[in-house]
Amino acid sequence: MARHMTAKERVEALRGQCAYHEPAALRRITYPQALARRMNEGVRPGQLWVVKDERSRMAYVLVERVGHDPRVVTVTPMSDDPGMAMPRTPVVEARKSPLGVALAPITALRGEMPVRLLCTPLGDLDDSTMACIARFSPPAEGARAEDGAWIDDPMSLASYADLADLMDDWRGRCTRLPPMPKAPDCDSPFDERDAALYDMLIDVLGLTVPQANEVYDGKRALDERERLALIAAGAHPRDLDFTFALPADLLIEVEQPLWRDKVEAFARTHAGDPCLGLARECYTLHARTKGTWRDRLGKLEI
Amino acid sequence: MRKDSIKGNATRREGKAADAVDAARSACDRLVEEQVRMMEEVARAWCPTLTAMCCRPSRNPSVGPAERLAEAFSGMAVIQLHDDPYELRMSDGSTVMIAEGKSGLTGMYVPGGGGDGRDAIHCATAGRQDGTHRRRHFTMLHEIGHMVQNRDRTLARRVRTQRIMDRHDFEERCCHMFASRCLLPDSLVGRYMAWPFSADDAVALYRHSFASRMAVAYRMAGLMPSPGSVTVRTTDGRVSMVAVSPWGDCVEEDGRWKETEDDVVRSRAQWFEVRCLHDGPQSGGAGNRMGDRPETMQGGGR
Repeated sequence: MARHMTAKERVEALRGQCAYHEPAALRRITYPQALARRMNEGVRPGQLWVVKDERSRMAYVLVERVGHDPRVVTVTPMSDDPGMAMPRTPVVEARKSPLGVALAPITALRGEMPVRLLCTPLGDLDDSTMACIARFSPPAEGARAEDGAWIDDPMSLASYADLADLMDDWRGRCTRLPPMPKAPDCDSPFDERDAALYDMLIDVLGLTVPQANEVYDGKRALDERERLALIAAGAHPRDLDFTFALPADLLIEVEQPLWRDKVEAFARTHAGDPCLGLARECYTLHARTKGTWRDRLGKLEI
Repeated sequence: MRKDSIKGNATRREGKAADAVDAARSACDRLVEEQVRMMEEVARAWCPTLTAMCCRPSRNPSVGPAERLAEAFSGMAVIQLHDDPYELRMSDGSTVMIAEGKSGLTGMYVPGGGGDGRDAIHCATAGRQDGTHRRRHFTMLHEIGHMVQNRDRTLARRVRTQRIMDRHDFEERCCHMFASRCLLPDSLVGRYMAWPFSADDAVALYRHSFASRMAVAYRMAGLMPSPGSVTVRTTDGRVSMVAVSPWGDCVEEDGRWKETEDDVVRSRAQWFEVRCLHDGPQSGGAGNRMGDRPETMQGGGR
């Protein structure tokens, strides 16, 4: 007789991810060519993903919407334990699930996260299932407490709380993404403040034009003496980072999961935001090669 | 059909359509044209015989603008012309191939790459489209355009602080226009082209300049005051490229005529096909249109 899994075992199974999934489904999902194809297709609504951050914290999520800023997606966390389902929440049947097991959307924790956190594409839900989940609004707090049989299970509560914390953390990262370039201003084609700063590099620090270009382009950092001299001359400290505006489409492309391996490799040898750093490397390559940003990122060797 | 001179047309249009011309120009076009005008001034200050070098025919068929410019600018840059595909190792350890059809790269400007305060310019000389090595002249001037924009303080500041276009796109577009204007200055263009333009005009301009067929096509199309295009065909009749007027072409993408066929002037001579709407809008086009001030050739030349 099959033993009913305890809540603890269910939670451990969730954390272990795919620990008890049908082998055939798992093989199909993680087959290298299938993974590569899904990666190249890009991120779009209806996709099921594994999310993994730099601390190896993971979750399943369903992409519901790609934001106006395509670096941000709206997701609903998914649980492979149907017992985690909210009352009257639609549960994805096993036959419709890319994992081959039933999935429960935890719609109360629906929220935004940076697309760079998406790690492994698992497949798509069909349109009708997706529409059903996207339309569902979670019940009020009181209703959940009354109807949720799992609520009495402290391990389930703990896993729910963990997941809520994760989603909060990931949501907060959306505000720390690199700033997008300013919108073009045809009435005022030159940024006077940037122009004055450029002139100060030459007039105050005595740099030659090529040297000023190197500093302005972010290829050489100012030393402390130079920073103090510019501040004394009226420059604002935050302007001295010289993070010149990278094109919006490059900033979007480098955030995509397709480049996660390169971003992680870059992070191992460089400080700072690895996506931004990789974008800068690619932008330098732009001057020497033709093709799209995707082509150029593909040529970068880290 | 009586042909009017371009300047005659420009004069007649000036009073009525000057405002319309300005209205029709985009802020990007204005910015690029202003930058290129300044580039020409700076380049001529560095090399007073620049126009003659780019246009004066040589007794030695193997010596053209690229060779003359390499010598003239040798004090500012180490300039190397490569006959064979050449692999250039960059300071960051990466390598790029200087050759047509490899990475798509035909030339490269490397700030400070020549040592002793000099830059480096590398150009591939292998002919491709027309087999007469004309492409190298355009490439050389394009790279000199980069050098001008990165060595002159005002131009370098403008490149970095303008906020209408992507910086690299802006710099590249200015270099293209600079090279085009050096090889096909207004004085030369006005001598061999008259409105409505014909394929014979294009052939004459090609034969009396060092420009490639593609450069001639773009220059002619850019000057069209009405919809039209210039097609370049290979010797076996295949379409090599099509340069379209800033006002668009006379035909839709599926080949249907936009306007009454009788209003379109069509001509074909050697590699060029030209069509233009003679009775179309009588405003000057954006892009490479002839200015009111005539170019004066320095030194000798026809």
